[in-house]
Amino acid sequence: MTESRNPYQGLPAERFWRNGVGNSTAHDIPGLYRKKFVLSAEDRIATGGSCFAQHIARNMVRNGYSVLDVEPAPPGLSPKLQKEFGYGIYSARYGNIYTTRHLLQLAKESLGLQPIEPVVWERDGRYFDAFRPAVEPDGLDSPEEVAALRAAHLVRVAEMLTTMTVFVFTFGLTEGWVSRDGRLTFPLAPGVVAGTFDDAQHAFHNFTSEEIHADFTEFMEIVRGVNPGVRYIVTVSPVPLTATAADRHILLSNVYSKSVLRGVAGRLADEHAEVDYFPSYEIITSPMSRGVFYEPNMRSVSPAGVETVMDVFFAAHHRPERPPGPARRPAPNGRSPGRRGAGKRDVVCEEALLEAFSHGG
Amino acid sequence: MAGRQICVLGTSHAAALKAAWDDLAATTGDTATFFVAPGTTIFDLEFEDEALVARGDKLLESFRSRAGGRDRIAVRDYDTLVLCGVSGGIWPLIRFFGGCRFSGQDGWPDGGARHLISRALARRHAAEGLEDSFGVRVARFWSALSPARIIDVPVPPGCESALDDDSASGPAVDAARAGHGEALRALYEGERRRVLEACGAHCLEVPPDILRHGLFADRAYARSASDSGHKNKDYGRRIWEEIYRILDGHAPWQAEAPPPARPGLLGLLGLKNGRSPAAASGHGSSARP
Repeated sequence: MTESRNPYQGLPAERFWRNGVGNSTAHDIPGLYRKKFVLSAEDRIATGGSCFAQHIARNMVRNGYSVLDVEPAPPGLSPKLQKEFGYGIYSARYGNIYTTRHLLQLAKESLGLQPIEPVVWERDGRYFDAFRPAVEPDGLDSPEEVAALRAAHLVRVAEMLTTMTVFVFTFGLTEGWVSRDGRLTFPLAPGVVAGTFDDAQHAFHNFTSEEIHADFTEFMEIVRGVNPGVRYIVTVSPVPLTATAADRHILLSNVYSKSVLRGVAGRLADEHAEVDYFPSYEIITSPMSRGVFYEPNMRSVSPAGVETVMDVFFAAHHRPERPPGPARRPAPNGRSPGRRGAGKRDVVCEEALLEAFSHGG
Repeated sequence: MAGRQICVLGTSHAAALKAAWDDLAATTGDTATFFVAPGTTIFDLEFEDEALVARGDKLLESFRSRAGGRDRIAVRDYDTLVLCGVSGGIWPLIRFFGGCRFSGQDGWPDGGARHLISRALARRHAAEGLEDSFGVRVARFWSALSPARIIDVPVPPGCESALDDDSASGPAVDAARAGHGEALRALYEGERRRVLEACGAHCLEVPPDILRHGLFADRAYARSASDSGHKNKDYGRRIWEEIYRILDGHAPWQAEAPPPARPGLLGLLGLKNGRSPAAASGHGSSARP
């Protein structure tokens, strides 16, 4: 008599919901993450993405990794002003990058593959860089100053793209705002921080799975062209949308967006040996966490949630051992993001500004 | 009629005021008490009820010798408070600009290596230093208790002779040589005025005809590059003139009607090297009183 067999027989315990989830706690999920590659002390890690990515950057620095900061704060600037003006949050001063189209645009502009087209938003006589409006909270004195600072910023971004060995990116949103002609993508809707929404010039766009996949793939190709061998750790932000411009309930939009992003991130990791997916989204949102990792607003991730995510990450990526000899600089051309003023747990999130305008005010 | 009671609270820079006051006091009918101490010792004053109280041996010793042995400044005893050297000088800003620049600012000796920052950030940095300063805390405390005039006077700048040595360098020298001294002075004075006026204080600037390159003093107002205004009676006299212009419209030792108000530094920005019209026409040094 032939013994009955099925493909689930003999699989590890974590492959089964009862063991992998039902018998696990939110703080201890064995086998959840297996790293694809080793990070070393020599790696030059760059970070970017939506606001949850700030936690990853800061904690990587704390754990001894060399995180690039190609656009560091000028010496003598207080931690408070550093944070307010977007220094030390990511590897360059680009602020939050919510969509892959924005990431792609940034790479193309910085590497000369797309004309630099400064778009200046105005508010109360002050001028803002439309592609990173929150890094200068007081605005700038003139459109010329916006253009000059943007040009200098893009030089730094190019430096980052050509020197990093690992890029950690957190996918944040599918919903974005673009120019009507489709050439430009903005991180925020015109009018939220500055500028004015003009239906003739601006449009809402909900990026599809195919678009996001294509954009990130193109980004990787561009980077490969100037800096072969870069590896990627991609994550999906567990922070829900603040608002949706799609004509449906925010909950539906949120699940749709996160599902699309999670799908693309997983696909990229499946397709590319150099792309690893880290499940911060699952850790925070899974049923076993029962929502405890969210603050009372059910949107912000609590410090305990961030800590749990980072514990899982660093359980796999142990603190790197430094080679013997004199201490080396943490990063070429800069300091590590978040080193100063790292005590603050709150993150800078322009998207939250939407909330301030969501009450008819 | 009894004269004013003026409280001068400051660091060693108040020495210039004291030196001039000794000559001028008799013409005013006012009394000035100098609560001064060198360096940061003055920061040992504690805010207590309606007074500032000296703590620490060094400050007590300084007040014993300079303020008639008083160890307590009762706010309501004075009609006028003059702050000198306690409200955050321009130096932190100048040092900050030892490593950064604005867009469009060329000519720095190491231009390319400098952090390009926004003017807005520089203003916030300057304001932050001022808002945290001891003088601003005193002004807030004082203005909440008393209607007395509060006047913040400028720390004397270093002497322009610092520029004589071609090999000399440093943030201020570099800024002056690159032609950015006036812009930095204007940035500083703008924030200083904004912060101090918000807590009820008048804000005096260095008289424009004294300034050279925005950051230095005319030789006539400086004894040396390193100790330009500490003991300079002439500089002190000019500042007292400005103080009395605020208090009475003109200084009592000036028999004639006061000269027309000079434009502040912001108004002089268009002038080369920060010189007043007189100085620009070759009469700058003759401005010595």
